[in-house]
Amino acid sequence: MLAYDPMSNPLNRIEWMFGFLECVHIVSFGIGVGSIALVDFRLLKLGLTNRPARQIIKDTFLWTLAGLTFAITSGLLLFSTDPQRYAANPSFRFKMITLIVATIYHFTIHRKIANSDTGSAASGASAIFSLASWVAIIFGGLFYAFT
Amino acid sequence: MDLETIAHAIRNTDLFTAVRQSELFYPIVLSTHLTCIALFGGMIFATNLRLMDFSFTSFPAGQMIRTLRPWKHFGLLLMVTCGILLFGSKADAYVPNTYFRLKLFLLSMLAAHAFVFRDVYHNTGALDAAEKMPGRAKLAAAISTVLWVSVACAGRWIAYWDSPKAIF
Repeated sequence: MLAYDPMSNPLNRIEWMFGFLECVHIVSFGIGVGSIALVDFRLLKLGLTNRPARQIIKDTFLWTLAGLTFAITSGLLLFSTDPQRYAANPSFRFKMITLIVATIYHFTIHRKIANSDTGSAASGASAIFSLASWVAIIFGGLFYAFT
Repeated sequence: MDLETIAHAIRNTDLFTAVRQSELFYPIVLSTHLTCIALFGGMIFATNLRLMDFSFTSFPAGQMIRTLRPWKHFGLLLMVTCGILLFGSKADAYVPNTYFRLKLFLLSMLAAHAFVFRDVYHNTGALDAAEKMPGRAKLAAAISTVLWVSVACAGRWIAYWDSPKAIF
């Protein structure tokens, strides 16, 4: 194992920095995941049903991208404050695997399904998988603090 | 009875003692509280973007407000329920916490916001009929965004408040 002294990280020398990064993380995942959830709600016919799903994925694209970019960047900075502890935690590992799967899924399969939404069962299943994986990521992030 | 006594009485009720002592229940409630930020906070954010003409411009604004309203109400109810469970289980620690008080103040500002701008949110037909988004609707959306982001940050900062008593 590489020796790493968290105190060599300048982020750990500023008292308010960790809390500040957490706030950025929370607000930006709210925007990123929230904008994906709007697409999912549409695919499940639960909201915004007066426009096709492809319109919603188009309208939310920039906000999804910006939200996830800020969430992941702040997340990497938070990770850097104590990488060995995070990496060894089972909740954190679960969160990372689910995050990679959910992000790739969103920008590939989910996007394709939303763009050609026919209101089929496949659209609904895709939305449920998307919602479930993002909620699991949030739970993984919280459970990290309790395990 | 002072606030401290009341806070202890709340904390020591059977319900809140059970929440505090359960290893799983507390993190589940906290995770649900955070999930609500994403699902329903996201809806508030999207509506505000629409009212500010930043996004979703193909949706009539009033229609967007109307179709998302039941979900926002459900989300707020779930979020407040989780919040009360979290607060109650550690009421004695929350009551003196400056950031918790700030969060309550910001939430009361949001209640005032809903009251002051009720003409915007409850007259959705006028929003759809308007040729240009009224300045008042844009203002309401901007204030709402700032207040909700502040609520989220104040909530996070509750964890960083040091009790003056703890020093001694």
